[in-house]
Amino acid sequence: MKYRIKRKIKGTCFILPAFLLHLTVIVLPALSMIYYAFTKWNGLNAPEFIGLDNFRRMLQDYDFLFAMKNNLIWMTIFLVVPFIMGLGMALVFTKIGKIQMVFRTLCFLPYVVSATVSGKIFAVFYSPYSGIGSFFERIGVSALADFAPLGNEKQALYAAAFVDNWHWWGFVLVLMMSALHQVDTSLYEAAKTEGANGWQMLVHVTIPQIKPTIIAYFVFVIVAAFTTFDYVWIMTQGGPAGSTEVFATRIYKTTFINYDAGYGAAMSLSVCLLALTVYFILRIIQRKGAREE
Amino acid sequence: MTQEKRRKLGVWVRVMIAAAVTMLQIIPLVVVVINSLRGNDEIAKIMIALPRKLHFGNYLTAWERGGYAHAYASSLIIGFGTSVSVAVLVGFAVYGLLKTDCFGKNFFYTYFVAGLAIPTFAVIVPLFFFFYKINLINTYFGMILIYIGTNVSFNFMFMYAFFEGMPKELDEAARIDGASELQNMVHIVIPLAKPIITSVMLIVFVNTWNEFLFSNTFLQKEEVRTVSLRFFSFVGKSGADYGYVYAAAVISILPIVVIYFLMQDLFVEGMTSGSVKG
Repeated sequence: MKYRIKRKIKGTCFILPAFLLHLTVIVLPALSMIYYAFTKWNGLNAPEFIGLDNFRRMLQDYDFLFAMKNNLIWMTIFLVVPFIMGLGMALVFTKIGKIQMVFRTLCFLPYVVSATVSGKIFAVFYSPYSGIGSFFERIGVSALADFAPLGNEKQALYAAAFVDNWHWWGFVLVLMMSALHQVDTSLYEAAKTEGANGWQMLVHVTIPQIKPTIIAYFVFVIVAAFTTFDYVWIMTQGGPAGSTEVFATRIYKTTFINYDAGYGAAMSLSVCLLALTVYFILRIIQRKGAREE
Repeated sequence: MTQEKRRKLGVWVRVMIAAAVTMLQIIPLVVVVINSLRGNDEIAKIMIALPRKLHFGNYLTAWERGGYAHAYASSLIIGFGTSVSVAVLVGFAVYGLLKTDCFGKNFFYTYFVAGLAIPTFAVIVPLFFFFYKINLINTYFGMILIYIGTNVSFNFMFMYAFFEGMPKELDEAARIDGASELQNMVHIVIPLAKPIITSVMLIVFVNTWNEFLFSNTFLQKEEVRTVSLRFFSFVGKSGADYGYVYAAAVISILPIVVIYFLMQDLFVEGMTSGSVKG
């Protein structure tokens, strides 16, 4: 008996280092944020408990509430564009033999380029002095000479999303290719003998077969869109004139530039709870859907 | 047209579409590489053109002005530190769960998997001020600790799936022969797990090399900032010296691109497996 407990302790010791480290740098801070969200705190002094004040303030903070619109636009873009590009090209790639590997490798390449490099390089491309606009002016296409999307309140968000999509859709492509690879080919043959055309095969065979991957993709995009940060921050920092502010840039500025850490924690907590709630709702729907089939 | 001919034509059309999309996809990177070899004044005149003379000097200037020697040191220390630690810590944890008798099997498994659901923004605000208090801001050690934390859950799932599929007979035989846990691990399990260990280290290394949010927040002093962060500030202070900017971009991504081309199977598999499985 004693021997058994000793052995169990030994086994547990294998797990503890990873567990304790993760607990200290991820879980405990995340839990402590729940407390800080109810305080007035500049990050350095002792936090002062103020009840729901931060949350009341948030409901009147139009800069913060306005940011949600951009998060929703971002979400919509990423639900549609990389999905259609990734799945569409995966359908093309999987029917051209071995050469697909070359194309796949190159399309995936931007995914390993860091966000700072792709963001800043595209900012240079978008610049009216050194970029695409100046190039068109130089070769005499004056209609495109004013192309400077990062300085334009109506275009800046889309310009940043374009770069994130450039970086990310190759990943979706690979994901969809491996899903397509697992579809049973006899299903296609059966459909063919029944006289189905290409479109019918896509709708009735391919998409139902890769549905788990598609749903997982949608869930991921929806949840991730609440806290999107890198490309917006690197390319616009929320500008021009606040037109590209998203939740994450507001939280970042509030906390690390204004040192209004209590309020930052409250915003952060709200956004994370929102994301987690949506995540669990989607998971429940997903499970229900899977059970009904 | 015969059916065979039509099929062949279809394949050709698809190859052309694939080639066209791929070209568009990599044009930005091609422009970066070409412009990294052009003079600043040439680029200022026209953005896209072939170099008249190859300005390899751009790379030297960018390397020195951008402080890339420091930046490479930072990225390599943080990258190796994190990837080795994650492989060891997660490897031990998975081994403990699957191969030994231990307390709380279900609890630990659920804990690590649930860790995936914690959003980055739930962690960064309190963690920053906590690290500020205990003087871990601007240190490699602090950065490595954070990166281990953020990489644990994903790699736990990745490694767990691999170990689960490993044949049990071998290490059971070793145990009957009287091997201790550590001996069994070193002589039996690790040799079998080499591909997954390499894969984990690779993914973690690339993650840390490219990461932005945490490193930009926790590493504020120039001399500890990583390669990706240096590029961020380098563009800001380079003004119209675009030749140097493009050269710095190549310097910043080259190691990762080389690793990618050399080991892409391990890479693509590791990065896409399970990452969007919810």
